Amino acid sequence: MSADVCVRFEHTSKRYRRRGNGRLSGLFRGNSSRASRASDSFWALDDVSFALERGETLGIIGPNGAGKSTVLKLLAGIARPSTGLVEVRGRVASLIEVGAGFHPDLTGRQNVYLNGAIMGMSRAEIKRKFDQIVEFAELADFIDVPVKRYSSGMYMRLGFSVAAQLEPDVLLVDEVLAVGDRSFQAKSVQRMHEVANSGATVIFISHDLNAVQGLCGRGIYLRHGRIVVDGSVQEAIHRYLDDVDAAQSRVEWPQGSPPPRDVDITRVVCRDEYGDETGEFTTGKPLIIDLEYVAHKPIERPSFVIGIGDGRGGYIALASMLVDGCAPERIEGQGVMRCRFDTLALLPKTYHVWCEVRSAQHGWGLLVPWHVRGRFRVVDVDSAYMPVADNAGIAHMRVDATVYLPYHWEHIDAVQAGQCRSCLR
Amino acid sequence: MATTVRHTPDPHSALATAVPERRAQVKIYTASGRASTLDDLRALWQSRELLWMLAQRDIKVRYAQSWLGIAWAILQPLSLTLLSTLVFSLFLHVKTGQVAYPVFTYIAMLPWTFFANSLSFSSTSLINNSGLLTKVYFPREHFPIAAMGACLFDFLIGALIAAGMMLYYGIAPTAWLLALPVILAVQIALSGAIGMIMSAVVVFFRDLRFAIPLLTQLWLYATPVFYPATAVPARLRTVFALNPMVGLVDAYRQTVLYGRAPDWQLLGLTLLTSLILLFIGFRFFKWAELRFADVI
Repeated sequence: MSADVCVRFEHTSKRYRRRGNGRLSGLFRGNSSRASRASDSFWALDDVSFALERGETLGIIGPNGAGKSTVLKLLAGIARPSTGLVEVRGRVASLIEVGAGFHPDLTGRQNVYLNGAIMGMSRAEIKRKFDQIVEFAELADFIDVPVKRYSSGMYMRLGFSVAAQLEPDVLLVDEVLAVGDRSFQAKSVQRMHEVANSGATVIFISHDLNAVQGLCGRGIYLRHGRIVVDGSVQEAIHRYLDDVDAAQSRVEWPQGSPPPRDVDITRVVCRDEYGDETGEFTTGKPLIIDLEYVAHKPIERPSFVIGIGDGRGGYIALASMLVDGCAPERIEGQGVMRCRFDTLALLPKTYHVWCEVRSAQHGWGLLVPWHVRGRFRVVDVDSAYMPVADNAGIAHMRVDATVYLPYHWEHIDAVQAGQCRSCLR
Repeated sequence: MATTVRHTPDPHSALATAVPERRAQVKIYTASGRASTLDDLRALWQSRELLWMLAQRDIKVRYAQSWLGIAWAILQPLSLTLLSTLVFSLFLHVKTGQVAYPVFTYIAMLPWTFFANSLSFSSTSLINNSGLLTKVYFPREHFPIAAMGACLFDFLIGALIAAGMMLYYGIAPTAWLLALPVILAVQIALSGAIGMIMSAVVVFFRDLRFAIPLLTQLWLYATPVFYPATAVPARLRTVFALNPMVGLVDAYRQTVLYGRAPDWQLLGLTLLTSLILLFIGFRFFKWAELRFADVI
């Protein structure tokens, strides 16, 4: 392998047995025929090849069970490939579940030494870095207390700090940034950047796409143990989000309503600016949402509410008659309540449509409960609304943001800035 | 397994300059590739600090948790000695020659306890550390060996009681006590070998761990601990000698109680058995090691 290649996978596959054996009785049952073994196993990684050079930062993304953690296990030498080979150059440190080597009865100090040794540091090295580790963990006052008295946050912080002081050639990170409070997280990310900048190769696995994008230059998108995309991190994330969106669009939402109500929303239809029913929209263009209802008896001033969410919790936007006071005087029989969003400010991804109906009487009594009733995808961007110079940049927008607010840049150079400040004063 | 371990200075890495002794190691993992026994031994030696710390952990944890502390190390062989004195000496009148029964039994019970405990602790050491096993790699034999190390610590504490008993019964120490480290070394080789084999087997067949206490119990009675080796009928002696603990227990008694040379032939045979077991056990363990993380 070339001098600068640090990590190499070559047609690497890893097969796992679905059923654990681990019982003596299994030996005697005689079910280890070739056929049953084949059906019993699955490929966690299937013919994966890639190479990383020194100093590269790779983010591996993909759904659960895609084989991300298997990649790290193979690199760490914990598991062996079933076929193909894995090659690693230099010292490997893994931040896979920090604090795994801690013993609750030992003090923080003892655990630092033990964990450091487990991670491959010599005693002298740990001694040299001990103060740094404790300072990083912010646990100077508790270092001689058994770690079983620690809060879970303290525990994780100490674990991370030991690992963070390693000086590895290859650093493996598996979803550990959720450690500690906000400021500790920032410090952790900072530390990982330092390690990456010192020339180490970093491989980072996370479902937090923002974090992956922030840290990594290169991205591999794994699905069912195979590489779907190996390219820039933007490319990989873009493709992954496309697939996530496509998968979400296939989810069937419950339609209709079993318990008889005074009013029912029978269907939610999304239409484009021409009134055509569609599931795909463009940022900057109109979106029309039709709520088709049946009122089984006359209802006075029903308030329809539409919420738009992207599955992250909370809503991005609400269109509520409780607020705008647009509720109709009275409805009866079948009808459609149409809501038109003139300019869709949402960036490309999949959105859910929630709706409910409340009555004006009895303190906003619920007529149709709040529920997801539809979805739509934003797949394109209207360049008149949102200028796009670099298409790869949209991936960055999709990951980090949801809404596009039209804006303008203005460059104020130093001289003008001085004047500006003085005129503001 | 790392099939090639090349040591080349690493001029590219900024880290290499910070830590000059660091060298870039190339490791290649494949399904079939395995390191030579020599490489495995080298890896074991290189991480000896970790082994030492794991053994310390096992000791500290054992003594930190129980308020009886060090007493535990003494209690087990001592209570068994008292009980057997009652049963075998007072009730059944087992003859032990000029040496009093309690000290006669204790001198055998102490190494036996070391052996039995290290078998018990090391055989479950891998599954008890499964959390670590699936997260970080270092030579896995550290677990059974460290477990044995903790039991060795108990043994050394128990040896103080042995010294006290010798004083009490007026058994004068002789120069043959200097042979004790040799005997102990043979025992460590034997315990290490069996510990490694059993720990690996238990990973694959977990229910075996329940059979180990029974096995130890049977083994105890097949070893002249409660009774003198001379009590065994002559025609059974050869079969008996197949049990490597027979030679060890006998060697301890000869050197400590009788001030005589151990039966070198018997001890040599035990050493040979232990070394063969150690070699096979280590090879087997390193073979099985590749599969631990997949199974555990």
